[in-house]
Amino acid sequence: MMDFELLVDRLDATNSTNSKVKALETFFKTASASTAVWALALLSGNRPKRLVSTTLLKEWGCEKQAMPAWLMDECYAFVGDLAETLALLTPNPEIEIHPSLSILMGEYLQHLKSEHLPVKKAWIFSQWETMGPTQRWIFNKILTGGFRLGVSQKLVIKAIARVHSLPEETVTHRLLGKWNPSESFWHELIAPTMEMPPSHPYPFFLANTWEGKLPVQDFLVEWKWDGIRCMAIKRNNQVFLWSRGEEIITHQFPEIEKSLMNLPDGTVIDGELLPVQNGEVADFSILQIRLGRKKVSSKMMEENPVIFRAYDLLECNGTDLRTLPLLERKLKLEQIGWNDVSPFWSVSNEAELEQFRSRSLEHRAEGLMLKHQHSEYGVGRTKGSWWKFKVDPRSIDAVLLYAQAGHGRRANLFTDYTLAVWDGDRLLPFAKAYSGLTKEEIEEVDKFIKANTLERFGPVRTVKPELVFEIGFEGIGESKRHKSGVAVRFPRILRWRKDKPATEANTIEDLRALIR
Amino acid sequence: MPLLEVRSQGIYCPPADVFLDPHRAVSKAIISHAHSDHARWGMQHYIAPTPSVNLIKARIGKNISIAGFAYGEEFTINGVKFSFHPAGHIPGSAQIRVEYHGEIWVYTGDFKWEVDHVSEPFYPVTCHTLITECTFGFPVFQWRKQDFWFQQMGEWWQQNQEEGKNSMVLAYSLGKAQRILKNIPSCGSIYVHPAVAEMNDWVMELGVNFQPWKKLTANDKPEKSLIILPPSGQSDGLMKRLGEVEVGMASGWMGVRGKRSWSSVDRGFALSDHADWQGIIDLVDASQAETVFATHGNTDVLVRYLTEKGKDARAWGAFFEREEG
Ligand SMILES: [Zn+2]
Ligand SMILES: [Zn+2]
Repeated sequence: MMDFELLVDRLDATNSTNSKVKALETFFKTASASTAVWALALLSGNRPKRLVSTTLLKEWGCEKQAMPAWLMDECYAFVGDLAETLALLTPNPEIEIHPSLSILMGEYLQHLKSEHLPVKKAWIFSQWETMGPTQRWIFNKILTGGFRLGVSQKLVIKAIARVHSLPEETVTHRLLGKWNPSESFWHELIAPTMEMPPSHPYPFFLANTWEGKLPVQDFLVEWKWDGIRCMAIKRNNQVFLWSRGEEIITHQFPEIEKSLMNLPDGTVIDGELLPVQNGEVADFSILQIRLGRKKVSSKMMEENPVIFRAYDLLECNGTDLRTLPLLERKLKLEQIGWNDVSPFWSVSNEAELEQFRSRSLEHRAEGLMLKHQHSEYGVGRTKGSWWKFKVDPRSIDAVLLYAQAGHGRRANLFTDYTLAVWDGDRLLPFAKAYSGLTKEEIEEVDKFIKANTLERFGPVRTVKPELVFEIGFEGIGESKRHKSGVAVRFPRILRWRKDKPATEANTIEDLRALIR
Repeated sequence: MPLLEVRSQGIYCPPADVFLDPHRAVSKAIISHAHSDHARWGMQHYIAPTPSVNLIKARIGKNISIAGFAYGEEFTINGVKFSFHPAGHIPGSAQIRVEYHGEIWVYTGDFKWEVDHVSEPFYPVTCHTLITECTFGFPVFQWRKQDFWFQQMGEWWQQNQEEGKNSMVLAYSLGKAQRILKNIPSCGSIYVHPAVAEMNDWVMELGVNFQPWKKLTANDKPEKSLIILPPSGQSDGLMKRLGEVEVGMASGWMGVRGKRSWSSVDRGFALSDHADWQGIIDLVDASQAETVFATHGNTDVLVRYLTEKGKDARAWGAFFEREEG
């Protein structure tokens, strides 16, 4: 595990994105396929289940260190993380042994299958006896199912792409969906080309907040609809509807599934799932009624109808169109025969743009999108060609980072949330908001928090950064006092964005762009 | 009557009528070392280990009334025999041994076992009653050798240099700063904060040699250099002047990830001037003390642990503010 340990130490020892990518590159250049794929799995959160319960692990820690339970509890309370506590309490060995990460994980998986506790215990003890401090920490974090480092998947992808001279988007693409950390998967991942299953989506291309400064005439303008961004795929006579949360939601919307079947084979459309009522786009809440339902009755479909409105055509007759200019893709999209294509137009000056924006609400849109007419369909949130220009820009999608219990009636529930936006690949807390959620949602979030606590500091819990909330506020300004450099006034939770993965929450640049 | 007891002003020796490291003004104070949570302002008369006299004066005032005694030299007050013994914590730091009618008490002040090449090396003193600090009184603290940390720090500096950056280490201005200056493998120019520079001068008078260093002035524009700064010495103006800079912190607290991430530095070095858990336990054994009082830190854990091991152990209230580890 020497190479992986060194990587963890190096990643841990810096906050600079450059140094992190460099460390990752060095690692992936020399690591064997089996070690590289496990490192990728651990770094991107694709980790195996925990081997033992934390209660049992704590007991074993006491036994191994010949330590009374109270002393272990004191240490745990002080350190705030069980895996780290156990790593710190274990004496350093005379000679460290470094099994390769793949061998260690192979043994781990074997013990995971076994029901025999004494065997697991003996294995864990023998590892503790020969591991150095960093190794013990990694090992314990894996044991408790909580391995996590301050690197985003994007950085890991960047490094792998560079080392194997692949386009980043190819690597991103190949990592979508489920995969096993096997050697053969690694070879497929870094192979020059790879067969894709028919369901395979392209990564979404995302927009940044419009900052002006660019000639508006170069852009195609369209409404920014307030629904769920989705990718519709028809290949091999099968259809798939992907949400931005990398989830297949085809079966939740049978009516869309049915009409997608009419598309020609080899078609991929980027669009928005929208609720409608009396032929008009309706409120987002109606869509939420439909989300997450396993069985959809025809009554449900009738009362809460949805449509899929197309923005962009990414694949036609099985050919990837993403590098074509946007305007060409738009024209092809109109010929494909989909019944609902989002209108687009151009404007000749800023005033005209502003006029359209001010009419967004009449059209039940939340603002405008500006997409450069020659733009490719890129990957992720690359700055420059796609912009969003919302009506009320005073809202932002943020990730839940810390949670604290409420007061009075809510004292047993976690209702005080600290929310963060991305700063490079770090999450930067910027606002504390009390829950504006429904009772059911509060309970659901509470459950999540309790099951996904990473660290405790007194009453504050660090939560696995996974949940995304749309935060509204009354005002925003610069602030020297806040770590984020930004202070928002009266933040409140507008809604839970279950459709968004944490990686797609807003960035600190988005937040700063709102200060005018 | 016990030889030492706790009063609101600090640790008191009734037969001698003196206080050890008092935190309120008293007439006569015996001081273990020059850190500000031990050597405070306002005593009518100070008694301290000789090597720390100038350090204490530099911190409290030139004109205080202060007497110095060498390590091992005995002095008597009202028939009570006192002597200082190296504590290994910082230059001039001492344990205080108190003897009266054949009964011996030792107060450790702050101490560490590891030889750091700037402090006079520690040795345990046998006694009947031991008063030990326990700043890091949790078994999770298990120090690595300083060689390890200085190698890490040196590599970090070099790495930053390759990226064209300055390296800033936050370290307590007396003790930790000199320990770093003495031990870090040289690979460029070293600047120190004026507060550190003043302490360097006094420590050099004690016979400690350093590699070349320079006091950081408003006109300096360090490049790829190492800058040693007390944690309170960071200012916006300075950070601007330093341009691209990586910030490291040398403190025992850096050994715990949670504490490290809260301190918002780029890099933590778990380098401490205090004993770790095993170091405290080892001293309890080596001193052969029958009774142990724990003070200065997480006393409860140590006391319960020793009690369960059959020792007569008790906590003495926390007089001291938590200090840089
Ligand atoms: Zn001290
Ligand atoms: Zn102290």
